[in-house]
Amino acid sequence: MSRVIWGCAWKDIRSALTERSTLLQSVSLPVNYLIMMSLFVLAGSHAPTAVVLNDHGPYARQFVTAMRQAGSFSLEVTSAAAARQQFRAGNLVAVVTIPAGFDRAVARHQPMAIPVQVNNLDQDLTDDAHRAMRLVVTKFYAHADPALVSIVAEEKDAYTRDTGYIPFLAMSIIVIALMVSGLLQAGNAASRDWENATIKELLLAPARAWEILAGRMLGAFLVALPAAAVVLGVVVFIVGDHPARLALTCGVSMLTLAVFVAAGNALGTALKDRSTLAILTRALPVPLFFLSGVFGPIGFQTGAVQAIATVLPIHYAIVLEQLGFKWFTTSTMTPATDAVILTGYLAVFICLSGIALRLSRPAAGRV
Amino acid sequence: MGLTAVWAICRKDLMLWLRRPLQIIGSLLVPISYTLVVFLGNQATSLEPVAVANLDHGPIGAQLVRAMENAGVFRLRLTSPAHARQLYTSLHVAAIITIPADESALVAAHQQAPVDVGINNLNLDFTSDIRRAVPDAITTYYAGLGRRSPVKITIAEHDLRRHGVQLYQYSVLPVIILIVTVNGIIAAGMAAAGEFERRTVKELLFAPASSLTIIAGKILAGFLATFTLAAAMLGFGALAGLTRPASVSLWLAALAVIALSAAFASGTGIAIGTWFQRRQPVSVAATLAAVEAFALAGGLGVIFFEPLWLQRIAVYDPLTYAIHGLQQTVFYASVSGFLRDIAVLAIAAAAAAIAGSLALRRELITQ
Repeated sequence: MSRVIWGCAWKDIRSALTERSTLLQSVSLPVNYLIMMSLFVLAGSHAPTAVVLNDHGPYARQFVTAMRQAGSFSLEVTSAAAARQQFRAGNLVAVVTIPAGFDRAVARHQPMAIPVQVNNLDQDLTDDAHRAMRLVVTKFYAHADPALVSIVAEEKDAYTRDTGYIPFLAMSIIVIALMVSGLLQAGNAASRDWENATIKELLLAPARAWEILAGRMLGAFLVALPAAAVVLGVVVFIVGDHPARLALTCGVSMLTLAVFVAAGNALGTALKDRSTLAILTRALPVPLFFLSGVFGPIGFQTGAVQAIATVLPIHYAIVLEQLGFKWFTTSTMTPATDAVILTGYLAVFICLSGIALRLSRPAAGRV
Repeated sequence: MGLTAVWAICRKDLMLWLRRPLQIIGSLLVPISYTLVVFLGNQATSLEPVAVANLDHGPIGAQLVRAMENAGVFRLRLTSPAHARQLYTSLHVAAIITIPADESALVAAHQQAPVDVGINNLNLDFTSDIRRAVPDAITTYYAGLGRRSPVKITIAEHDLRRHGVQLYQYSVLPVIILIVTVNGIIAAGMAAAGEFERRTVKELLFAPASSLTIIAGKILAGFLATFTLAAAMLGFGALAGLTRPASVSLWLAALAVIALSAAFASGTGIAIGTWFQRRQPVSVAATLAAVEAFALAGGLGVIFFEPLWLQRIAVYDPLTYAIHGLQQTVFYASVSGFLRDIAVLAIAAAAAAIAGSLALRRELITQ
């Protein structure tokens, strides 16, 4: 029995190793998604802003400090001429000018308007700059004259440390890597037998169907593993996400890969064509990924997105990865329930693979 | 160089391209994926759900709630503290804002009146949004007091442009350039690789046509397929009211940018197709090359606001100039930097055509 399984697995491993472009895609697609998301985040995180100080008093300096602490600006204190030049060149989101007499006005509680020129290329950047400046005003008063402004926000965080957006997204990128490599490798292995007309020999071989399926899945699992490890390495060593629970992270990753290997096997057997499979593998991950709670807990999304996410295995894989990496609770269910549901998907996809193979028997006769 | 022969080769490649709808769909999948990154990403990272427990029966509590509602940053749920806690622990809201029972009394007595903000700080994106939004509401409240307000500092915002461009609108043009690049490289690359795969390259060689004619025909086919698709996208965007150049001359300028980008992609495609001589690696390489060039050109943000290292790389990326040229002509009715953009794109297109020609010519001679 094990000889048949290993024989099938070994055949698929050797065939897969000849297809370097598929191996390359398994790594390059998830890494590309990570790069895309990182650039998307970088673009909106710190708005390059110039400050022109026409008053160098202590209040003016405190105002600049409040801007630095707002966590919204990439700040440069510069001259009016330099700021104007950079603003014209389009390298700044905003120019904030602290007017002469700022300190005197603050000390005497007189009205003072701070001119802010905004490069309103798009509304998102404009809104961010607008809100960040209002945050600066409240921060400034909280330090400069706490008695004057009595209403303040007192923050209590759920976690002791903030997690950057890129490290947060990177945890989910591992799931996309497992999904892409699992679907591609298993799907290609299944389709290849139809394209090369070797399916007839396989089905006529003195081996049971489940042994062939098990061998095929084992082969795809082993070939997909290095690609998943490379992406995991990028997330751990380049992004800096270190797993809080290594065993849990590895276990979840293995289970997720097994789920998508089984799904790929079912898909490849049903499609019988590698180019269609490649197109689907390129098309599916991003929409499914975005509907599975990649940006935060799924409970924060709209009802429709929540309903879609709960029927997708990716959602359960993502929340379990987040638990393994940062001990974050992002699921509305217990971790054990999430793991059971993910295992249930594995069972369903294995059954679907068997059904697809059984239904394909008449087609094999025509190959 | 016979124009009839050029057109015959071009027509043959165009017909082959049209006969592969899956290939066309496949080349559109990548831009669609990145459109989803922007659209879904933007939606998922705005309007966080927040529970507000207003225990204050005085005027201040009600005014603060109104200010938060008007800020348009949250999806507010005004509820009891117990229900708010339940929503928070079950991950249905990202934060609880509690306005204490004595808020109005404390403000009236000019004493510190903190508003409690409990944040589920899983990632910095929505944490920062909430950190900015609560002071925004407080500032709005104080602004409503007019002359009685203790906050004398106000922000006088001046926008550089008369009309704001929404983020989803802003993202349409980089996606058009991505379509041009992916489709141009795939269409021309597949046509070149297909000749080697189908072994028809020898027939081409023996045909009574110069190598220059063959190369020109192939580049023209890639160019026409890509330009038509991208121009249709721009036209569709104009019909939808998303991307409409203000005048005929600006329309022509936008089409010139698209045409030069299509020529660049087509030439690059010929070089890649000839290099690999097989269609599957061309598909992978085209996607990788196009996506990386798109990412480095700041396709998902504003390149001038990205980190300096990325800006330095972007200078050497022709797509930077294509995106800039298109955005200036379509959104801002401006031809600022247009000559530079056109010149860089023309040089890049010429260089790509030469690279494609040299690669194909070398292979024709080798064959």
